[in-house]
Amino acid sequence: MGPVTRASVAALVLALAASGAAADPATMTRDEIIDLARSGVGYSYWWGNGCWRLDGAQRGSCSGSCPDCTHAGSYGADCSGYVAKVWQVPSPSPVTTCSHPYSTWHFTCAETWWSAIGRDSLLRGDALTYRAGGCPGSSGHVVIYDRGDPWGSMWVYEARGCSYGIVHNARTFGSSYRAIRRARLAAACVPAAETCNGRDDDCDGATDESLSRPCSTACGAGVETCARGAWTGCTARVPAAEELCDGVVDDDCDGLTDEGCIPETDPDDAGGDAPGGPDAWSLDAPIYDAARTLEAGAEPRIDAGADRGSAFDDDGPGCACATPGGRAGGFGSVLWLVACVAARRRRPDRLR
Amino acid sequence: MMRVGRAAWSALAPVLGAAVVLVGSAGGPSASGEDSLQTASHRVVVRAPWGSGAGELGRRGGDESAPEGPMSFAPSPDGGVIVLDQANARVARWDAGGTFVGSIPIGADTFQDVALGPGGEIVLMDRLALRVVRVLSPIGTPQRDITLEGDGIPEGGGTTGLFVAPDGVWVEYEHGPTVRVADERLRPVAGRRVVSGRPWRSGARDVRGLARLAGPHEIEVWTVDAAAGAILSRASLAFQEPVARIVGLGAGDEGGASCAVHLLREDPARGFAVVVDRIEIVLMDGALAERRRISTEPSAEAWEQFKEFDVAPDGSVWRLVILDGGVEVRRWAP
Repeated sequence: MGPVTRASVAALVLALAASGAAADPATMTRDEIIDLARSGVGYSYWWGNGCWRLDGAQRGSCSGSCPDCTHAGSYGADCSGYVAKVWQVPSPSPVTTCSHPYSTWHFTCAETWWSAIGRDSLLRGDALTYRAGGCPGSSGHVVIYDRGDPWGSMWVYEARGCSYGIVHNARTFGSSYRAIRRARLAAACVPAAETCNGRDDDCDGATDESLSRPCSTACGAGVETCARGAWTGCTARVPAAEELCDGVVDDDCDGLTDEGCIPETDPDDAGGDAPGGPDAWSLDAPIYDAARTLEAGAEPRIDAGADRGSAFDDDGPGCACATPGGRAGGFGSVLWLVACVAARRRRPDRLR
Repeated sequence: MMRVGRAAWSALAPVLGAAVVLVGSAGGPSASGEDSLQTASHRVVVRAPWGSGAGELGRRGGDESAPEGPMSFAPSPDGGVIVLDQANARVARWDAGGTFVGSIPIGADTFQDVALGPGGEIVLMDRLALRVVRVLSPIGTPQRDITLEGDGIPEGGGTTGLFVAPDGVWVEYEHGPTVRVADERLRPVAGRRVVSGRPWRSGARDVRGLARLAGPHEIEVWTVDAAAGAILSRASLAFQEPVARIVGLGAGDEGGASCAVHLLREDPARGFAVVVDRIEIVLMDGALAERRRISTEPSAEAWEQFKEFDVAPDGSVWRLVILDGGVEVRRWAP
């Protein structure tokens, strides 16, 4: 089985459209269903619609609370529009052509080009659907099933909602969801040895299952597993960028433990971390100040209270060893920085 | 260290006394079955009706989109609880007596997990939209966002748990390996450590807990010494009904462990109607020997939850239960 490419998905769509003269669904394989589902990931949620592009461009955006939400752009889908397009029901249709032939009512309460199955029979390319209050119900949701995980959580493709768009994720489903299977599924899978390629090579309904191989780091050997066609999760410990003063572990795997650490004497743990006044937690939830949010990985801003001149920040985690405000530069500042760095080396134990 | 968070919360109680939302008051959820504040088996710590006001929790979606209830929660060391009220873009807090303390804004409505830091910090995980771990100070001051995807986390949607351990913040992937994304000061780490299993309170260093479905009616639970790579304890747990999924797994400081499963059976002769639908909690000792079981009802309808089960340091078992009229947080003594 070849790799999934934009061209292969486009060819699939054209083939399905060409076979749609009778206005009935064409035969599809499970891999073809998943390939179409994957092609929509990243597009916006668009209530009452269903279309996207195969090149990943023009994803659009959604704001507000649906159905009273606002969509911007020419592409996107809601959950039922997405599943209808992925399943290519009721007839073949290019993904770029916006349509919404079914709602969750149809997927849950009617059986036309699909039928109910047991949840313990789910295979990739099947769907889970729900209708509030049963049938006919009042509202609902539908997703494309991909695979399970060791706990029985389910990887699914779904047009999740306005804030998320179309996503692929592992999640849970309550008993209100029922499983359904598309009609006209081709048994195109020819069993072969399972390899790490994102495909169900052995045709058992699972992808890259039970694949592992040895791996290693400077800290030792481990085992990594295959997920979605990539080797990941090597269990060998990753060398830390910096040795921690934990007294036990050679964190950076250089053969030395706690090298460069200064034995703890009397860290300034006078408390003082008391965060703010009683108005910090509000009964009516003040607006989040996004301007105060830091860039990923940046040094934290300390503004929960006033530091007291200690090398430790007294009002929250995260002390950048800069000279404290109001101090002049020069030799005094150098001494301050030395003290601060030394204190930071002791800090880990303080949190245990 | 925990004194920091507790002091702040304690200070709020008298201030907010006039606005206390009484548990079990009129307008709260109508529990299906166990609806008293103190049953023989558990205590209702929080009972919150649906809404966006003080002491209320939000839900959304379901109209051609995913229906979401409060996604996660975390017991606090003082016996209270925080609930991730992401539909209202906030975290809400109740004290041990069930009194609503207050809420803080979290800046987005797409977070799916929450944990408490060693100094009372609020640690949040957004798997799908922002794809970050966000750290807020105990009073909600934004401190940093840590990129979620990277070594050990190829796809944010595959993360299955957020844990704050003594050595930092760990994120679980596909209920298997966990990835250390922040150090003990809640700062991002340069080289991510990946080990098998979730952090496990046991008094010993680097013990991890794991579980998996082992058959239609069986799960397997085990603990490992992450440093040595050796299995410490292992247990097979059998159930009379099919296990649809493992709901949660955790341990207390004294070594007692608990797990929960969702038992689900459909009847093919009746259009796959659900005929068995319940949560079963298994309490175990430190060696994973079974002590007792608790059977309780699942959450109502299709409101999605990311974490509905937790084990507090004292070994007590907690559940975030969604009912028709709102949400309950229940606690079972160890």
